[in-house]
Amino acid sequence: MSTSLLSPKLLHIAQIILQLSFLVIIWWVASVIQHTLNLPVSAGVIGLLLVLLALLSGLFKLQWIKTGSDFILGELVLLFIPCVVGIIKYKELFLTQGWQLILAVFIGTICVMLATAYSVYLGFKLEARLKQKHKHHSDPLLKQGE
Amino acid sequence: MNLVAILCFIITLIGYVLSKKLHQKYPYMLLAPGIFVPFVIIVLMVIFNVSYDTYMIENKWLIWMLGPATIAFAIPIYEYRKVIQEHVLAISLGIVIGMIAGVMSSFYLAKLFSFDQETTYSLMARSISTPFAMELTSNIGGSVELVILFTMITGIAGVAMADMILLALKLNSRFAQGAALGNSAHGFGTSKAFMRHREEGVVACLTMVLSGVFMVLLGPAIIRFIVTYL
Repeated sequence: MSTSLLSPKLLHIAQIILQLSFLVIIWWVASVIQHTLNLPVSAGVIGLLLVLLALLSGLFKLQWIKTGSDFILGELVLLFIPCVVGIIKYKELFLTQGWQLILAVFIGTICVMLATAYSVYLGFKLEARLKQKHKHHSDPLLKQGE
Repeated sequence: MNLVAILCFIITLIGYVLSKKLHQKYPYMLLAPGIFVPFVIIVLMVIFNVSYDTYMIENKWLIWMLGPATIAFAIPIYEYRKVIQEHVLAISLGIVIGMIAGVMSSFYLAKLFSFDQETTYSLMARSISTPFAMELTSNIGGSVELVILFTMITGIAGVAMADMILLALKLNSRFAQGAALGNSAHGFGTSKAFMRHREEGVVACLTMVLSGVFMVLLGPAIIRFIVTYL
């Protein structure tokens, strides 16, 4: 077979690049919208909401952006490495208040974890009670299977 | 063309790829690309006397890509939309109460330790996924560099404490545990949740993304309210 010179791997890479370019175009459109309407939210978040609407309305198909999106979300750490390098600007702060900062982050994180766990648990129980009234049993997570 | 700047960019890219492979082989936290690569780069910059401004000349493109990358978060929301529909009450409660707990606790802890204003705002904006936290912090007057570092420590802290805390709570609800992980430790917590159980992972991912969007939209108002009236 010599019809296709492109290996599946190359095709996959080409697909990622195309879909990422698509994301960049959407982002550009979103930033035009942001500037024109003078919105306080970034182009990224506006683009997210636009894409979500387009997917829900059936205007976009998931496979148009799925491969590129999965790729970029998987490599997200690369994108903020330059900012982490930026902490050299804050050397002084960490030398003087380093342990207080870390302690604050740890305690704050425990607070968020506890508050979320209990409130979701409560919400879940409320939902179950509401559902029992409506005699309606279906959990999409169970339907999707393990 | 600044050769040093281009070299900085190439080293960041290659360093990331190599560090990712290394971390897959030796999964120690300190070898994670988000920690190891910046560490090596900072050491190199100090040795060769390269300024942060020079480093950023080409590397700003990576940060620029965070904009388009944020859009990609629409995919998990879309894919798990049935879960949201089904559990809209539980998820909303978790997001609103969890986020308020995060902002309030940061506010009071910052008061307790008397942090300066920039640090306080960065701390208050940190309990969400990094791209959202960066946007929130620049909206309220925190520092982008600090918030990234804080979100990272937050993620590590959440993952380190998750098993212990969730076990102690004895809630026996995968949904509540997943949401707790996604809200408290965002990306780190979501991977951890997927390791624990698929359902926990799905819920963690959803909570993380929705909390991020929620905080970008309403966070500035919430934080301004707390700072002014409490």
